[in-house]
Amino acid sequence: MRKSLLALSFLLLLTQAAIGQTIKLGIDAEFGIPGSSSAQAIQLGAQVAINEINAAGGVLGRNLEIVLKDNRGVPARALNNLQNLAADSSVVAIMCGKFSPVVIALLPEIHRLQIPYLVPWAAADTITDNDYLPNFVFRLSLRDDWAMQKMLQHASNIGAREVGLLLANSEWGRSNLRAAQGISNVNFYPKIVAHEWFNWGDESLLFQYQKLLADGAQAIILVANEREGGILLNEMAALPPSQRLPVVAHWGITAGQFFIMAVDALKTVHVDVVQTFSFLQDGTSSSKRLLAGTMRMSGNRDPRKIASPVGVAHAYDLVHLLARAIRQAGSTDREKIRHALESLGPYSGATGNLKRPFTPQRHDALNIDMVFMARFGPDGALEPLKTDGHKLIPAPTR
Amino acid sequence: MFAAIQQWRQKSLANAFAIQASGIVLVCVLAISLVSLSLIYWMERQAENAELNRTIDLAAERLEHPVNIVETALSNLSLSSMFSTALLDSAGRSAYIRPFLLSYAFPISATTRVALCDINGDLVAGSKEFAGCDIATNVFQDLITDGKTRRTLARASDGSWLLSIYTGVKAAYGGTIEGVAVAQIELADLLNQAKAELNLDFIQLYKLPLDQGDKFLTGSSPPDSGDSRSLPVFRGQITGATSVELTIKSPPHRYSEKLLTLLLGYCLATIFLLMQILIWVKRSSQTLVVPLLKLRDQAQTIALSGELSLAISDNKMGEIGELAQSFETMLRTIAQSKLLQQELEERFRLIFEKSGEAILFAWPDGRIELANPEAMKLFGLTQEEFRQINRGGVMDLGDPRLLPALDERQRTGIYRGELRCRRKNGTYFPVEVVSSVFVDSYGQQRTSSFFRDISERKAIENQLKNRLTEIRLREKALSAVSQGVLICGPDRLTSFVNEEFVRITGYTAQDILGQPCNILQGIDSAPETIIQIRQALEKHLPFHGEILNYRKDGSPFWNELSITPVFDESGSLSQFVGVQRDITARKNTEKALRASQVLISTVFNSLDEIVVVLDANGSIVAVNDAWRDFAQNNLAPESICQGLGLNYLTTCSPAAEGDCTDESGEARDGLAAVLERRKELFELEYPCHSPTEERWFKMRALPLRSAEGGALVLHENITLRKRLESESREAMRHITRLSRHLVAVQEEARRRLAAELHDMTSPNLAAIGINLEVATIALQEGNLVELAARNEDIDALIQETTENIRDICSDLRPPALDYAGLLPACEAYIDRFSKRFRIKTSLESDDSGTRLPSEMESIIFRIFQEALTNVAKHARANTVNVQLQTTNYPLSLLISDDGCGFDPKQSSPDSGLGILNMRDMSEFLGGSFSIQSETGKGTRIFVQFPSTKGAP
Repeated sequence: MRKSLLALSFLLLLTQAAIGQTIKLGIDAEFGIPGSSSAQAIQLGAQVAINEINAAGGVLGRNLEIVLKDNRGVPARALNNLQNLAADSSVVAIMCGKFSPVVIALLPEIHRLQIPYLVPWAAADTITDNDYLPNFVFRLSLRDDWAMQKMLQHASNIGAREVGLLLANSEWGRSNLRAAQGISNVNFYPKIVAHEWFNWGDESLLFQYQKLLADGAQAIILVANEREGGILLNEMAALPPSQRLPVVAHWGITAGQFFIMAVDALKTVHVDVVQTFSFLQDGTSSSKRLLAGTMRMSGNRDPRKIASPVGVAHAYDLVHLLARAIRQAGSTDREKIRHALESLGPYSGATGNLKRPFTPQRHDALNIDMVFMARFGPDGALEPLKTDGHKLIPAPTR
Repeated sequence: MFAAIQQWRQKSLANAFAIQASGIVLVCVLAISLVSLSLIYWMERQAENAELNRTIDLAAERLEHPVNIVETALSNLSLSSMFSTALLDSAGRSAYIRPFLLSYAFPISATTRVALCDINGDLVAGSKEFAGCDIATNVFQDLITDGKTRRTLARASDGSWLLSIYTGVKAAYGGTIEGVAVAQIELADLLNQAKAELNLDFIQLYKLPLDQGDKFLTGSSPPDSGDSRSLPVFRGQITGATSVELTIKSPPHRYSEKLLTLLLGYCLATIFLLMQILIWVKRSSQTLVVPLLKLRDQAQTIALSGELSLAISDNKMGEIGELAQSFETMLRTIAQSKLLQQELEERFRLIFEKSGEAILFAWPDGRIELANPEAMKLFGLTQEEFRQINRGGVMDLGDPRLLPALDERQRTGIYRGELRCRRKNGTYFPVEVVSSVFVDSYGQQRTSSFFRDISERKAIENQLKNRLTEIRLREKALSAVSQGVLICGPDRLTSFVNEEFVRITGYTAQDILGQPCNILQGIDSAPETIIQIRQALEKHLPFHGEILNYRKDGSPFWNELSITPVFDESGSLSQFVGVQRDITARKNTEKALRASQVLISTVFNSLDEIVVVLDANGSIVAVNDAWRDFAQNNLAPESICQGLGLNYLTTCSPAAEGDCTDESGEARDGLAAVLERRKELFELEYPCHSPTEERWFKMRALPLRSAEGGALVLHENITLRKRLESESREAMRHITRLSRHLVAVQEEARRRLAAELHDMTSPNLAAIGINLEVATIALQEGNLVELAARNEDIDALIQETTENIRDICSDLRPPALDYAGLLPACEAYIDRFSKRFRIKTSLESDDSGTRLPSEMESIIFRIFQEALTNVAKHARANTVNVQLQTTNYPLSLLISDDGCGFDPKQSSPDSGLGILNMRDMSEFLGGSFSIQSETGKGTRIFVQFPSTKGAP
């Protein structure tokens, strides 16, 4: 009798989950940019997490579902997408892509509409340090000041005492410059001798590079996306070997076909890049689950072949955190979810163990200890560098 | 005045000419003046129009050129990476693009503004007075969709009109239109510059259609007079306006000032010209009229005197001269015609009197007026007698042709034909008559008749007619002959064919008469026969034979032909007579008979079965090719190969050389029974093996249904059927064996499942039961410590039982096989296997990750599982090595151990069943299974699958 009652209630639950409206998560990212893989990686990670959550019965008896929007990295499009998504009451939160200027441009509208905004990639500091209270933006990703510290430290490790900054002429590039200027007076970081700007869409970065070279830089700190990164690498490879400086890159170049563009240049130019996650490391049980889920979805059995792994892992963790927050809030009310996000308990995610992911004051889930440097392997996979056993590359003699 | 002119005009022909000429000149002068004045006016207008057109073209260019410059500059701006970056980087815009655009100016002198807007129409940056990104119009959305640059008219806040140019800005990534660059130009500025540069009083710009309130765009107010000129500008370039039109005006005309002077000049010239004409025409007319008067006087003289030989004129020039010459020619012609008349009269008289034909002139009522001498001779009448007798005196009035002849002459004017005439002595004679009606110079109808005596000709014609009748009778006789007849002369040209010939050949008499007589011969006519015919004709000998001939329509027919030469009285050849008979039907029958015989023989020889035809005594009458082939293949002597004449009963069969003597007696008896009509059918199956192969035959004997009796013997090769029957029996035995195995395997699986369930769950369940009993007692006693301990035990037992059951389930059907594939399932199984049995087990695989068909994965896994189970049960092995190759076909599985091994020939029933099972499963998928083992040297099992095709 008790058994049959139990079975009946279980059945009822199942039916409810089946007929109840799905809870939607909007993903508005740069899907339409040819050759970019960041948006697709974010979608993959989010979908793996959602598959896991739905298989375990969903959230509040309802299934989670992704609604995709394409902003092509353009703030005006992102604004329209944000308004459209927020107009649908079943959308509880929105996840963005890699472009920091997009998120920064949307900050007033996000807080006007009061919808939780999840950031799995865009790294500009002002995204979370935005002076809004309550703050609706939650990031599980890198920050530019962490990235800059790590890059400068790495430049020092490979023997550069003076570095030049090559920056995108955007809010992201400026965020990095501020971060660099904030720490450049610390003794053990190399000295910043100059910085140069380039515009998105420029066909050449050689002029800026040669100015940095002339100013005495021994390494280049590169803040660029895959397109301009590829252009620079190919231009550097065409220079005589004595003029090829080692490049320490922010992770914007890993969001697409950079490796395909620069595969030959990478044989002659030394490039290291900032990362927060790798499938090639011994990871947590979550990261193993994520790998299995990713392989199942993409049919790819080789962890080296997963493009933009940081996007996959961050989105995966953010969706799990969102599901927990909804469960904790016991409601799909956006404000309640925002509040729950700020008061979540410990979470063991793919990127690592987080004691308390977010607080009302701190909206960055990761910390600088999770940041490491990586290098492109011969197949384009990003291989983490071991800081202890790493052979330092001397700066070129000039 | 008018009366005075009239009077003066009547005074003389010359005066009249002068007045007439003056009038004509006046009209001409007026017409010339009118045309020349119009021409001058038209040229003046053309010059003014050309000037106006040139001016408006220049004005339009002054308007359009700066706009094009701005558009080009804007398009260059939109391509700069600064613009595309600004669209992506909203927060950083103020850093560079705002200062840049605030001070930007296009390289033209009119007031311009520029701005960058995003796709929502929000202003990113712009110059100071920029009116705003106007998203309300469709221009914005259309531009973002198709990327084409557009121009529109817009109104500034102060009401002045602006021309806006929109062009798309592409994002740095993706290349899609993500923003719009806008330039605005003050139209009034452009217009005022054009007005000043071209020194115009009036210039205006309109937007069409005109029925709308905002038609007037900008420009100065119009002056009162002058021509206006309009020109569409920015053709098709302004979105939202049908057309934009530019209008200018010219200063007043200068033509009217010139008109008065011109008219005065024309009047004076006209008066002077008229006076001159008047005087000159009068003078010249007077000189012309004098010779005319002279000619008139001489004509009057000729008319009065009748004298033709007067000199008329000495003036041979001009129209007057021509008139005088014509006058002279007329007089000469009259004189000549008188001479001609005399000559004609003389000729007629000669013809009339000397003609060989009788000629009579008469009146239409029959009265004879005149007869020539020949007529008098023919009819025997004098001129006087002719006049006294009427038509009845010379014509046979009883002639029935007479009245129709007269009627015809009256109708047509002439009659030609034969009639009968009467002489004076009363005899009648036939004549040929030509009689015609004519009108004499007095207008009276007269007749003339010419007669020729044709008595002699008529007599000859009668003779010929009789001869012809005779020939026709003969031809009719020939035509009635039932065979075709063709007659040709010594020249071998056809001169006669009869009706039967026409029926047979299809040629008509017209077709063939005069043609060569060999016309019927054609392409398939036998050449030797043609030569025979030719030789017979040359030697004038008769010929008889058959030849293939052709009808007119080309169809062939067989012709039985006889040719007979005919000689005349002198013994020389006069003609050949050919007689034809169509024998095609007979020929066809003969041919069909031959074809039928060949067909029957072919069918007989085409039969696979060996066929022998026997007469009533059993002697061979006929054998087919199959018999001969068989006999030759079995190296039989030539006499048997041909077979004819041999007595079949004395030999057993055509294959007597082979191993078939056992049944020969039976065959002989059966055949004898059929020959004697005791049996309707005799059948016998017998082996007839050659040294190289096994053969089976079926013999059948049937009586021949003919009066002479006899029999038909057939031997059919039934080796294939016999072989199939044998294989089918073998397959049935195999299936029976497999079914027995299946039952045994199922029984084994059930037994194993029962044993495992019992071994692995029953003790635990019993232990749980005991614990529960103890716990119940503890609960009753309230001993919570004991209760907690029991609970822990139960928990541990349940966990262990659950694990055991999971192991059993995994053995039965590992879940990994379904969701992960063969390799992971094998890996998982080996993992558990090595832990459970402590046998070191390794797996080597090419690990392609590709999935095989599910049935194949299942069966390979089962074989793998069975093999490992056998190792665990019997081999006492330390290590097992599994090699799995699933990437390319053939797939293979190799399992080798270092255990005790066994002698495959003496395997135990248990493991024997397992091996049998593995072998059956391999064969089920079309694979091969092999096992190698030797006591003390381990076991190797190798399975191979060639392809998926073997899978059911």
